[in-house]
Amino acid sequence: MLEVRNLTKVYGALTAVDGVSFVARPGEILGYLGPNGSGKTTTVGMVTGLLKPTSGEVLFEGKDIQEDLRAYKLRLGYVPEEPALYPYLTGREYLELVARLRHISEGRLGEKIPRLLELLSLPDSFATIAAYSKGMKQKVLVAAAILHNPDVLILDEPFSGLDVESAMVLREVITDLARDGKTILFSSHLLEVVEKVCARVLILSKGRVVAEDTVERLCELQKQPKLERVFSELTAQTDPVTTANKILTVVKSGG
Amino acid sequence: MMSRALGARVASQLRAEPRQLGLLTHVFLRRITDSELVSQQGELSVTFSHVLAFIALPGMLAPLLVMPKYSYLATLPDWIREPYTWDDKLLFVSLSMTLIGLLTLFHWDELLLDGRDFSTLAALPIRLRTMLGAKIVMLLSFPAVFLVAISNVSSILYPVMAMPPGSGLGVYGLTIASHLCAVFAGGAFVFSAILAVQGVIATLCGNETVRLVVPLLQFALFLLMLSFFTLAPRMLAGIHPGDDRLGTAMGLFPPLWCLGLYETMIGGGTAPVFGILAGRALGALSLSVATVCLIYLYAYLYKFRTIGEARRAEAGTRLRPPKVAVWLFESLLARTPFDRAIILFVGKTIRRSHIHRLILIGFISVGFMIAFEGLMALLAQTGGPRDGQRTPLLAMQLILTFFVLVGLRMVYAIPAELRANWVFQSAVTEEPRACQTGVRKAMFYCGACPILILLFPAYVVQWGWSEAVFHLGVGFACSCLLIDALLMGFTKIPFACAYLPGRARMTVRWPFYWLAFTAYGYGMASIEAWIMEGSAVRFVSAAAIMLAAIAALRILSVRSVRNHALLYDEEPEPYLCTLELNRVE
Repeated sequence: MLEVRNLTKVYGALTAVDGVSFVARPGEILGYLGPNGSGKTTTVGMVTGLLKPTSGEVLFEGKDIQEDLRAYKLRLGYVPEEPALYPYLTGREYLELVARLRHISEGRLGEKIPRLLELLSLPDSFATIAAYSKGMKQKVLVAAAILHNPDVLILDEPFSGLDVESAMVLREVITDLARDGKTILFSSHLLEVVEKVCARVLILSKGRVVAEDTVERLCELQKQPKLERVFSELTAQTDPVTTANKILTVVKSGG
Repeated sequence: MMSRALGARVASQLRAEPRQLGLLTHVFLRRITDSELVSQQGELSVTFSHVLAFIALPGMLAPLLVMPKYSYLATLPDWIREPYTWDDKLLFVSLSMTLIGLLTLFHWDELLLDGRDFSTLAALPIRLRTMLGAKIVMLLSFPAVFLVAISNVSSILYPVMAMPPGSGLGVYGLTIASHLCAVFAGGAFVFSAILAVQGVIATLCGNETVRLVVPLLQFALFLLMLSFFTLAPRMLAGIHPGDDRLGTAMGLFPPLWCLGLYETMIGGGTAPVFGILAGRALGALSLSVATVCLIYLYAYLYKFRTIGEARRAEAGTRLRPPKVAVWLFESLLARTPFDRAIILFVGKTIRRSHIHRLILIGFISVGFMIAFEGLMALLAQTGGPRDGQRTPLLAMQLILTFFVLVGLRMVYAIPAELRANWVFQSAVTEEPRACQTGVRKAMFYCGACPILILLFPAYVVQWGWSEAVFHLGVGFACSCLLIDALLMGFTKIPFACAYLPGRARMTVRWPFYWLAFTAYGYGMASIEAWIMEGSAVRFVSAAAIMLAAIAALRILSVRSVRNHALLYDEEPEPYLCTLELNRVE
């Protein structure tokens, strides 16, 4: 079980995350939602151990991850929001690098990586990542995150740039991994996918948790038919239609 | 009505193009000044002016260094004095050629219109000819700016010394013009020749061939550029005006062509061969410029329009290493997955990351030139090298490994795609001590081993098997010592930590670095020669001392990273260091 207790991150005068608490249970996919700048990626950074919290703690199986970050990292899989990869490596070389850093033996990586490349329709050629499309880079990130069969999977916008078929495959993979008892934190802006995949969702606004429950219960409480409307009601600071009209006025002004 | 609208569109396009041209030229020039070596916090313009100042320094100092000689030469008649000025003129020309050549090599990737330009600019309403025009303006500005920096002081000061005593303003003006023409022609020739070679390869070869050929070509060009500077001073030793050597073998040395141009323009005329050399200078310059123009024209007509497609179409089968090599690597050289990850990451980054490769090539080339100089000095002795003089030959291996290992340590600190280092931050679970083992092995296998193995056959031919094997052993042991010394306190994954320039404090510590190089390169070679000439007791005691030194340094190196975390973000040193007397423990 992954438990976040009163997590806070302060950058100078800015409080990016303010007292966030939640629990993600094994076998459960927890949706982590919020508008841009709400503190999602900062939380994800702290949950992965890449960022140190200003206060609060992240517990995995009851132990603070900072106490034994090494053991936690061995069981963690992470897809970051930005597809930052080494552009001069090929997809295969990148996956081999990650596999070796995660202590996977040559025999196992020799079996796993070609299969994963084939199943994800990634080229096993000398073409480097620099020549990959955004979707292909995303597939490399997803493959790197699940390569070692992690117990905790933290996905920050994993569907970004993926084509319809690959997105459907990834959705199935995530659901099946949860069924196998993995703990999954799923951060995304694609609310339809979140609605279908996540057992519970947590909505963040200005660094604070503003709602946490099942999708059905949130819709019921907010008296809205869809998660999108619930999200908008809880987080929107301006009326989207009015803002859209204002943007169009600026665009059309002065030729 | 339609024709009026069309006319208005064309007129608007024509008005827009010069502005776009200016903006794009600025962008392309800015990319040249922007590099991975510049700190994120560094002010770009300030850093660029530092680079310009650094480039200008040799050109400023050279006239001052040669000045005493001219006070003596002023008393001699013209026909005697003139040949004594050649080597200085050659020095200025070769300096400009070397510096411009090295700068061009460092900006190898930015000089052609590449896929990055295409993908950024293709969506905007910019004509291909405007992009190309901006690139050409940038290509003209690039050497011009640096050539002005290199020659501004020397072109004013040196002609005062070089012109015949009592000459008027006209002669002074002519000497300045000749100086500038020769220096600019040398720089322009090197610049356009490198561009032409690069363009021919990029145009005629496939991506995989380019990837294989370019590192070797860059190494060869680096050596060539350095040889211009190092060979120039001795090129004219003992040469008199009517010497045949000026027109034959030595006439293949490009800086001499520009000296010919210098002398012909100035109206020296004492050696008719200078006219031939000047012709060669102008011919070579025209040929290289024409080649560049043809390549750009061809690329404009056929290649640039499909450049985006070429990037996508890149594919092919992966080359697999032989099974024996894989077994050797996995079972003996790097037995843990982590070590394998680090060694392969280091090897691939050096092979494929342009800036890292070039810096390392620079170090190897300097080492090569120093070793070559030693060898030449040995061979130049009357009657060839004597039996007792082994030190310069022994030092070759040590000098080369020194420069490779120091170069590797330097490039380790320079990040490659810093944003991608999250993968190490999230996946590396090793302690810095274990990381250092992987990094040490990477340095040994990627740096020391190739040099030692490549030189081994030469030593076998020179001294036979037993002494060559002994020398190889010394090479390995010394490399181990140096690697441990270089990795003292190194708590990073290579290429994965932010870089702060100036941490090596070259301006203050250079005597120490020079001493370390001399002790390692020549000191160790002298000790080795002493052991080789002695008895078995001498060998055994030296081996014991060496092993003890390796063990001691290893312990110190491991201790230096104990209780430290792996570093991914280098903190700048504080502007003010306090004594912390008020600190409570």
